[in-house]
Amino acid sequence: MTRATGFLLGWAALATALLAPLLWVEAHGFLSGAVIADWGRAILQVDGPALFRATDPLYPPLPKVLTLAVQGVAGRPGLPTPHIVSLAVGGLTLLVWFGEFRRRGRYSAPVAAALVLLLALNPVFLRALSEGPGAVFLVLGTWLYARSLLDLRQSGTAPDMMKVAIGLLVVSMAHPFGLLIAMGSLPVIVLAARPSMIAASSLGFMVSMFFPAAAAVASLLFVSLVLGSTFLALEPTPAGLAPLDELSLPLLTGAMAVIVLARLVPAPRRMLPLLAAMAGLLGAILLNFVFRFESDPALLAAPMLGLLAAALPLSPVNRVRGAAMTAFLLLALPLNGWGLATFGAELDRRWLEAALGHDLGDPLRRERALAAFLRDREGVLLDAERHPGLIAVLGGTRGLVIAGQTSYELAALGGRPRAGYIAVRAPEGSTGGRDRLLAAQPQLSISAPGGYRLAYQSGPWRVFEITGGNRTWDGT
Amino acid sequence: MPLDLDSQTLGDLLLIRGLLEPAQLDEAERLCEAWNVGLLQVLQSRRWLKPGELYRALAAQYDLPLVNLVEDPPDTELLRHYDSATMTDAMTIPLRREGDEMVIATARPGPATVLHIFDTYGARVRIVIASQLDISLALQRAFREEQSHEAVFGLADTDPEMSAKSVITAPQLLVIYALITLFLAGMALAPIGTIIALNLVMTLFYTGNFLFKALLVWVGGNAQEHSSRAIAAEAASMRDDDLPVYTVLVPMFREPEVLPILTAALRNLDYPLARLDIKIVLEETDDETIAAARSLELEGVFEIVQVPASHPQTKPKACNYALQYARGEFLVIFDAEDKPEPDQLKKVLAAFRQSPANTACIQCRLNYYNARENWLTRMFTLDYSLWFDLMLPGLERLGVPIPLGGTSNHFRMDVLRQLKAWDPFNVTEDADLGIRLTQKGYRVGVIDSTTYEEANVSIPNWIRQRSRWIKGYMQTFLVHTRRPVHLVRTIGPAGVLGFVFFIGGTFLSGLLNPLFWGIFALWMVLGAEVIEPVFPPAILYLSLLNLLAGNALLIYLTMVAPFRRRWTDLAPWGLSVVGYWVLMTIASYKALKQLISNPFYWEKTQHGLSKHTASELAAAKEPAA
Repeated sequence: MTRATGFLLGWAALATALLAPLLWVEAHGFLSGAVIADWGRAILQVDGPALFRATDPLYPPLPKVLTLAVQGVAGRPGLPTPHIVSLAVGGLTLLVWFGEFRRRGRYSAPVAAALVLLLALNPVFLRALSEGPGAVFLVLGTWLYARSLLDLRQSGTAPDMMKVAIGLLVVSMAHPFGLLIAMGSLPVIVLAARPSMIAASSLGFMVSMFFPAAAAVASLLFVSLVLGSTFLALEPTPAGLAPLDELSLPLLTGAMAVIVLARLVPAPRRMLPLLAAMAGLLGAILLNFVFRFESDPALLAAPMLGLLAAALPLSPVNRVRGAAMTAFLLLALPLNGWGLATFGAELDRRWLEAALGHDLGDPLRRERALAAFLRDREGVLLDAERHPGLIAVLGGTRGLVIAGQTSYELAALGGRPRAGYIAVRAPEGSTGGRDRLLAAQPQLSISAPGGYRLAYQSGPWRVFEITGGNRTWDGT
Repeated sequence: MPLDLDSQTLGDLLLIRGLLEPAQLDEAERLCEAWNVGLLQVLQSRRWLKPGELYRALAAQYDLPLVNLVEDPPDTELLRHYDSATMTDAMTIPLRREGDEMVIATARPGPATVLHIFDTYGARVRIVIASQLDISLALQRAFREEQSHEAVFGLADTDPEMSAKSVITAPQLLVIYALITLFLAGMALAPIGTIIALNLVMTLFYTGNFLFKALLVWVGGNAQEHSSRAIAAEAASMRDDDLPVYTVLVPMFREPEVLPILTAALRNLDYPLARLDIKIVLEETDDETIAAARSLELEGVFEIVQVPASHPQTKPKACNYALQYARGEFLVIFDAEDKPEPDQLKKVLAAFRQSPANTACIQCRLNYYNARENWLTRMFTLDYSLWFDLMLPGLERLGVPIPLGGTSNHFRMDVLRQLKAWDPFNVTEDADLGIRLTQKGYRVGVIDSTTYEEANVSIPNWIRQRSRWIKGYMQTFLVHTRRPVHLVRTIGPAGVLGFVFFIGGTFLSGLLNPLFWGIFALWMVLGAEVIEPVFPPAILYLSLLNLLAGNALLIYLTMVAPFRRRWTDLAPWGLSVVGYWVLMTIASYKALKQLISNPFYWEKTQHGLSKHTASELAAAKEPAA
C-alpha cells in the first residue's frame, strides 16, 4: 500500500467514523440553521435556473464553495451536503493530527490514536462538526496557523511563512469569527517571529503574514461589488449571553493548552509561537465583544481545540506524558459537556440534549409538510433564497418559479404574479430573513385577495393558488 | 611538503637579485606548500614582481635565452601544425625551424616540460623562455580565424537543431501559419466562439502559470536547506593543496570602470589564486577596457583574451572564444561587477562531489548589493530573490530544466566543450544552455552561495536588459520546441510542462497582460454587458479567480521571496509589483519587435550607474593603494 493510498483510506475511515455522531444528533432532531442554509443554497445554485444569481453574501466562501462543489458532483446525497464537507474536513483534521502527534510529538501509535479519539469526542468538536464546514475549518485553520507559527520560529523557510498565511486565510475565509482571529493575531504575531525576521523590519513581517487574508477579503468585497451582493450578513445576536459566558467555554476548552504552555516556559522557541496563537484567539474573542460576529460560545471555543492539538506534541517528553495527556483529554469530555450546558447558547444546549439522546422533534417538519403539498404542483412562486430549508427538503427546484426567472422578478417588484401558485412565509419565527415576495405582495400576509385562493396553510406558511389573470410563467 | 628544487633555485635567485624580499619569499614558500604548486605559479598570483623581471630570472635560472614574441614573432604556419589546446595547456609553442633544429618557447621550464617538448617536437630542439602572456598572444594570433569561426559556428555546424542561428524553422513557420489561418477562419465563421475558445486557452494558461509558480516556491522553499549544510561542511574541510585548476571567465564590453570590483572579489576568493585561470575576455575593438585592464597591472593569473571582431557580437561568442584557451577542470562565468561569496568555488566543488555523476553545471544564486537604492532596485531584488532563492531550487527538485542565470554558473569543462558551449546566436545563451544540458542527459544543480551584482538603477537601462532576456527566452523557446517529440522524450512530460510555463510563461504573460488589463478596464468603465458575450460564466469566474486570487498569489510570492535572506524590509514593496509587471510588458513587446527585426542584437546593459558601485569601486581599490 502506498503512502497516498494509506492516507486516503485513513481519511475515508475517519470521515466515515465521524458520521455516527452527526447522524445521532440529527436523528434526535438537531440540524443547525447554518447547515440548512448552506444546503438549500447549494441546491439552488446547482439546480436553479441558469440566470439565477444569488444575492446572499458570498462570504464565507470556503464552506460555501466546497458545499456547492459537492452538491454539483453528488446530486442528491442521502444527507445534507454541508455534512459531507464537514465530515471530509473533520476526517482530514483528525488524520493530520494523528500524523503530527506521531511525528512531531513522538507519541506511540496507541497514545496518538487515543488523543485523536478524545479530541474527536470532545463535545466542542462534535458541536462544531454539526454546525457545518465553516466551524470545522475554523478548527483546522487554527491548528494550521498555530503549528506553522512553530515551524516559522524553528526554521523560517518560505513554505513556513506560506503555511502561517494559509492558516490565517483558511480561518478568515471559513467563518466570520475567523476574520476576528486574523485581526486578533495582528498585534501578537511578532511574538512568534524569529528575531532575525523582524530585525530588518517588523512591519514587513506583519504585512507579509496578513496579506493573503487581507487580499482575500478585498477580493470578496470586489466580487460583492461587481455581482451586486452583500459581503457579510450577520445573524442577529440573541440576548442573554454575558461576556463571561462567551469567554468561559473557550477558556475551559483551551485550559490544557495553557498547561502545556506553562511547561514550555524554559523553551521560548516553542513557547512563544504557542503563546502568540493563544493570544490571537483570546484577542479575537475580545474583538467579538465589540463586533458581535459570532454569538455561540461553542463556536468561539472550537478554534481552541486546534490550538490544543498544536500544543499537545510540544509537551515535554517523559514517561507519564502519554498517560497524563490522555487523562487530561478524558477529563475534558465531561468538563466541556458541562461547559456547553452552562455557558452555551440555546443551540448548544439543544445539541447537547440531542447528543444525550433526547428527541427534539423534526426541525424541518413544516417544510416537509409544505413540500408534500407542493410535490406535484407546477409554477409555484417562491423566495427560494430566503427559505433554504424548503429547498433542502424538496431536493431541487422543479416546479418552482424563483429568482432569475422573469415571472418571479416581476412579482418581486410588486407586479401581478404570473404563475400557478405563490408560497409565502409569515415573518414570525422565520429562519431565513424576510420573505421578499411577501414584502412585494403584502396583501398576502393578511388575507386572500381577489384572484388568489388560499390553498395551503400551516404555521407561518401559506400557499395561494393564483386564480385570475395570466397564469403562464417561465417554463410553461 | 618542502619546495621542489626548481622553486628553491628560483627563490634564491630572486632573493640574490633583490627582486624579492625575504619575507615575501617566506610567504611564497608557505603558499607553495599550502597550495601544492610551484613558486612560479605562486609568484604569478602576486604582484611582487613585474612579469619581465620574473621571466628574466627564470631564463637565468635555466640558463636559457628570453625571447620577446612581440618583437620576435613565431612562425604562424609552423604553429598551426600543432594542437592549440595542447600548446595552451603546456604553455609551450614552436617558434621556428633553424636548420634541422626547432626552436621551442615555453613559459614553464622544468623537467615535465622538457619531456613534453621531446614527445611533441622530437629531440632536436632548442628551448627558449617566453612569458605566458606572449605565448598566449601568439596562440591567439595564429589560430585567430579558425577559433573565431569555432566560437561562432561551433554549435551551429555540429548540432544545428540546437542553435538559434535560424530564428524559426520552416515547420515552425508552417505551424504558426496554420494557427493564424485557423484563427482567421474561426473569426470569419464563428467570431464569438473563436474568441471564447481563445479566451479559454489564455485563461487556462494564466491559471497554470500561477499554480506552477506557487508550486515552485513551495517546493523550492522546502528544498533550499536540504543539502546546504552538507555542502558547506565539505567545502570548509577542503584542503587547498587538493584543488583543481578553475577557469574564471569574465566577459566585458565597454565597462572599464567596474573591473577593480571583480579583481578584488576574485582575490578575496577562498581558493588558491595560483590554481585560478582567470580570463578577462574583451572585444579587440574595445580599446578603452583593454587599456583599463592593462593599467591595473594585474597578477599573472589574470589573462586578457582579445576576441576578434565578428558577428554576432555577443557575450556567448566571446566566451566560446576564450573557452579555447581555458585550462581549468571547471569553469565559471562572472560579470565584471560581480562579488561572489568567498567560498563559492569550494562549495561548487563540494556540490559536484555530492551530486550524481551526470551533474554538469551548478548554478549559484544571484542577488544585489544595491537592493535598497530605489524602487527599481528593490523590485529587481525581489524578482531575483524569487527566481534564484525559491524558483530555481523548485525547478531542480521537480526535475524541470533550469534556465541558467547570467553569471555564476559553474561547469565541468569536459561537458561544456563536448556540448560546444554557448550558442552565440542566442542572447540568453545561459538559459538555453541549461535546457540543452538537460536535453543531453546532464543535470543542473543549484546551491546556496550568492554572487552579488549591481541592480539596474535606471528604468530605460532595465528595459533594455530585460528585453534582451525576454528575447533570449523567446529564442530558447523556439529552439527547443523545434522537435516536440524529442523534447518530451529527453526531458519528460513534467519537464515540458515546466519548460512551457517557466520559459514560455515568462514572455507570454508579459505579452498577454495588456490584453487582459484592457478587458478589465473596459469592464470597469462600460459594465459587464460589454464583455459578457466573450466571457461565458465559467470563463468569467475563472478569469475573476485569475484576476483576484492569481494576482494576489503572485504579489504574495514576491513578498515572501526576500524572507530567506531576512530582508523583511523589502516585503511590503511587493505590493507595488504590478508596476514592475508593466515594465515587463514594455520589455516583452520590445523583445518581440527585436526578435523579428534584429534577433541577434545584444542590448548592452550599462553597469556602474549605481552610487553603491562607486563605493564598491573605492573599497576594491583600497587594498591596492
